[in-house]
Amino acid sequence: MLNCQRERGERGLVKKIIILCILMLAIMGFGYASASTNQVTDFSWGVNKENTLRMVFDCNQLTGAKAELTSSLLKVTVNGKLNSDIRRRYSTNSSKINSISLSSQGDKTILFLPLKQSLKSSDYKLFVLKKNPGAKRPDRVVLDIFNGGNGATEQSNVENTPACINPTYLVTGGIQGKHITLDPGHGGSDPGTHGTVTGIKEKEITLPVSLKLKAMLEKKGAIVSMTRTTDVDVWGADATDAQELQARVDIAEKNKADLFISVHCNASVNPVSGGFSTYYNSKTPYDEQVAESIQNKLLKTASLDDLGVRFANFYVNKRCSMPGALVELLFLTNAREEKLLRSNWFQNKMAQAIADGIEDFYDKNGGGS
Amino acid sequence: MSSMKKLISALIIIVCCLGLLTGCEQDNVPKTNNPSSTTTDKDKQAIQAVDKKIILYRVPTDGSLTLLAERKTIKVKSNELEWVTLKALVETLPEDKKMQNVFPKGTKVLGLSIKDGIATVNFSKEFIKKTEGEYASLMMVNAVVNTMTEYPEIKKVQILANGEKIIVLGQIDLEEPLSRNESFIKKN
Repeated sequence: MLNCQRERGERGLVKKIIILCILMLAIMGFGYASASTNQVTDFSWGVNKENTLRMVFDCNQLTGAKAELTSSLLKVTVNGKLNSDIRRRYSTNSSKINSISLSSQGDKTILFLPLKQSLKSSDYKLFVLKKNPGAKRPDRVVLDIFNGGNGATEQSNVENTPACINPTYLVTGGIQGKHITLDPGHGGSDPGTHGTVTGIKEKEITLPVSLKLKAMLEKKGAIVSMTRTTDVDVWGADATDAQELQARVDIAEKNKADLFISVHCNASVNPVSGGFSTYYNSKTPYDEQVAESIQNKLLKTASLDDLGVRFANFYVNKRCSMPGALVELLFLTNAREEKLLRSNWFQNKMAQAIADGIEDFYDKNGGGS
Repeated sequence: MSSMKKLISALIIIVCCLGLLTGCEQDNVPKTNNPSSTTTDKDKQAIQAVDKKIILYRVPTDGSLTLLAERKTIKVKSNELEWVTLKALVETLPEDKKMQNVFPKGTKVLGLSIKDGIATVNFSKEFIKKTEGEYASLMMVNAVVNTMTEYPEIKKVQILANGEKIIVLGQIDLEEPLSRNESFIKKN
């Protein structure tokens, strides 16, 4: 009797373990499949206001792509299986290409663009946009073909093309009406760096400079949103660094910003280090220009070191979908610069320089009046 | 009875093995089972050490944003070249007074593996210690990436601390492997 019960119990245990094993295998199988299969879930194209012919592959996850250019063909290979219900052929009035054709080659998608005239490598740009849950956009592979001047024929294409992509941000038409998100660096539980002489915190400089900048940009006609307007953590006090920075990116996305500017102060163990530097991440064709325009104006504020404009993998710049820059305003660890950073008149001067730099950027891109 | 026990243990072993296998495929943590692409201090192979020229991108002391190339000739076994280079960058001081080592005190290189053009670099936990300001972290990351990508088989660098991915260091996004950053190198 006792023996019998034990045996039944063990049989039950074996059954449970077998079921558990099957379940685990199934979960692993699914996990593996979804992690390894890249898919192109949608394809769309259109001509935007800058007369750029843009083609977008929506993907189920981040994937790679490569472009090959010959004198008669631009071929783009996207590492993802082409969804079978996507239309394969489109005609276009573009002055540069004859037609748009897609084909599926195993787990890759090939885009064929027969050329009307030979292209230079600077005439197109292939890049990846990360998924943007705020704007409900998936990971994308984007091909831009810059058309330059002759807008008339292309413009008609815009109205005739229902699949036209509205660019997620605008760079033309001047600063008037542009949505700009300003990000005063640090805040709340995160003071940032601090001044060597007075101990003033970085967050106590970035906020007033950003608020001054907001007023100046609004005067120029921009619509300005802020990641924070008081001394707070944007995500919350217990956030990881990534959560805190993502919260700032999310605000820019939610506001459908055309531009994102993050304001910081620098620091170094070397008290002699000083100067302005501005950083960009070239995920759009405009980030470097934005950074350069701002840096140029900052250098005119006073005789201070020019550390330059640099490519950097700063989280907020990399993960925002719109163009932007991160400004490092002088060094709090340099006594002279700390004094400048603390003074109201110089904070105004720096804010004015950034505002003028932004206006300048828009003017250069087929700008204002 | 005993056959049931055998069945149970066999199933458990199979599941564990499968779990390990999928684990291997999904993460990039360096594995030490491939001697051709992985080197550690303990590797003792019958390869002769030869003179090699190496370049270490050092951080300037004047606070500028241009890395300075320190050129050296070292005696090294060919299969340990990248490893020795990285150790030298992180764990030694530059000879030139115009250059400095800004890695947080105590930072050690724990591992390096190279696969499909990506070098996965594993630093000790000191690496993620908060530094004063953005300057040091920015320069340090660019120094690692640019020094490693001097080797043609390395196209990108994934930085780990204590075997784990670092999502954010200061303001820098380290989640994905980084490419060479020419904007921090002096154009000759």
